[in-house]
Amino acid sequence: MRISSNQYQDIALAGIMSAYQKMGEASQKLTTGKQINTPSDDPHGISQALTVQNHLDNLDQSARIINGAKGFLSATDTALGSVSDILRQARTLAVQASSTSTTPEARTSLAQQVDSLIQTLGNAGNTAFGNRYLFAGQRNDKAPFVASQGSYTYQGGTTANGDGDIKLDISTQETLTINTTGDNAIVPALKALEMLRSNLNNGNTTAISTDSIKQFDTEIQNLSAVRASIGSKIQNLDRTLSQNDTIKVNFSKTLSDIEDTDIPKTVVQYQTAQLAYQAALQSTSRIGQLSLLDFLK
Amino acid sequence: MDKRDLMVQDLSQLANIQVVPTLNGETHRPTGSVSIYVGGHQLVYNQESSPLPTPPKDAKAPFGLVEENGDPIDIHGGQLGGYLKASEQVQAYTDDLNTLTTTLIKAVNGQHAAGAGLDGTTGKPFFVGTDASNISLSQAIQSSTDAIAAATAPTPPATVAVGNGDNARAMAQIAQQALIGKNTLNQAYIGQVARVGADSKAAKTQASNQDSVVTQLQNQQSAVSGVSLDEELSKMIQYQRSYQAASRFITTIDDTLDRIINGLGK
Repeated sequence: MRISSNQYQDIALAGIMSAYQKMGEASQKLTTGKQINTPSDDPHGISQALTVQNHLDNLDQSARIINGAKGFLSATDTALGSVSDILRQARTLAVQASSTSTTPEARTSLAQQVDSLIQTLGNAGNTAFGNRYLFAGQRNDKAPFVASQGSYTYQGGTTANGDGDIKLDISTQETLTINTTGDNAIVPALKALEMLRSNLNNGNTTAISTDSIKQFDTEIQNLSAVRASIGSKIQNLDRTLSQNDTIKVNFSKTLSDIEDTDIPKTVVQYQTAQLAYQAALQSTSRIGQLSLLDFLK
Repeated sequence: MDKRDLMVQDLSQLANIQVVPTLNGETHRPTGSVSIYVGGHQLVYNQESSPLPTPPKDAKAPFGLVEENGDPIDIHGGQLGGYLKASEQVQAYTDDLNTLTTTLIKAVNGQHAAGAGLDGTTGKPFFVGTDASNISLSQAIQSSTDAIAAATAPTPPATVAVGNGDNARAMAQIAQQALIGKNTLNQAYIGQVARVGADSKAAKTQASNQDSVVTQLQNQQSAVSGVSLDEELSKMIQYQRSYQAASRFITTIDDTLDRIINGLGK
């Protein structure tokens, strides 16, 4: 085939440019660390990568929610622990009071102790987590237990009214109620203490020994059931969290496989491309200068 | 090639043109003038030219070029054809993105309007705007997050419960709903990205194939019309040699004549 001088230059230039382009591509993969720099680099890969990324984002979101929920549940558990202590102390007082040998003066002193326990219980019911009251249901911007006539009335939200449960989506499929409302956990204990106080004030020893002690026993049991359910919720959250972590590791690896540069492979590609580029440059510079003119002397 | 051929060549890079030599009405011989057509539109007739119509400034792609009488002008080649096709594709992507955004705005606003914010307002939108070009947060939310209707709207006379996040949960769950066909918003978005990627890859491959074809044709053209320095040089040597040979012949004749004229008869 007859090859004109311009044609030779065009071919050489095209060769140089293609080699340079390959080098540029490899260099971009190395400097960005990404295999996929635009969607057109790997359309299938990018859709996989985006799907996996979406899962990862969901898991991160889930982890944030779970950690918040765990904090709230632990705080609730601690507060209920002190309620449980108060009930035990009250039971001891009730046992003392039920003895027939207890003098009226001693009963008055016991009634005063019960009075202070009621106050402590009211304060425990107003425990706050951050700036939110734990036992107020959804009305958690105001203290739920308001002191009135030597005792407390509950003014927080209740499940019956629809403003009691605080629900969190701990994953895309699972919703969890994280709070315990004061009317469930604390109001019965308060009632039992008030009953004991009025029995003490009225000198009704029989009622104390038959009803009050039993009431405290029931309430202590109820409270441990509530605390057990909180404990199992926390355990569940921990399990979900560690499962999520495992899934996250796997997903991250998948994502990295899809979009991260395989460094050793790409370095070899880069070197090959560089070699091709050098060869193109050298052959063009050496052979391109030759012409019949060089031999006509 | 003359100047006109060069200009025709330039024109052929812009669109799918057709060059027809004008024939003399009586002799049916070419007059030397040409007519140039593009997709049925007569661009040049002998010495006269009529430019292509332009679509109005705010026209939306696809910009179908039409004659004044409404006949379509079919431009499918050259740079112009490429731009027209690309604008059509880009418009399709824009439409997809707008569908996505409009669906998002509608779904989120619907759920948001059902809830109540800490400021007690209800029935308010979360996003304002109609599509991807003008979506933004509502002015009320931009000035205060209390306007976000995170809570379920309370039944009067009850007031908004501050700890209620049920409506926010419902809004978050929109992400899991199949809103566009069988796809969630995110899946639809991923599909769009993959589609743009695949189209762009196909276009790149096609461009590189086309490039090879063009190079091949240019090589063939150049093989016929191009200049090879070696060839010209060897021809030059050839001519130089014949010139030398001719000069030599003249010298010889001159010598011969000299011998005859001056040498004879002494």
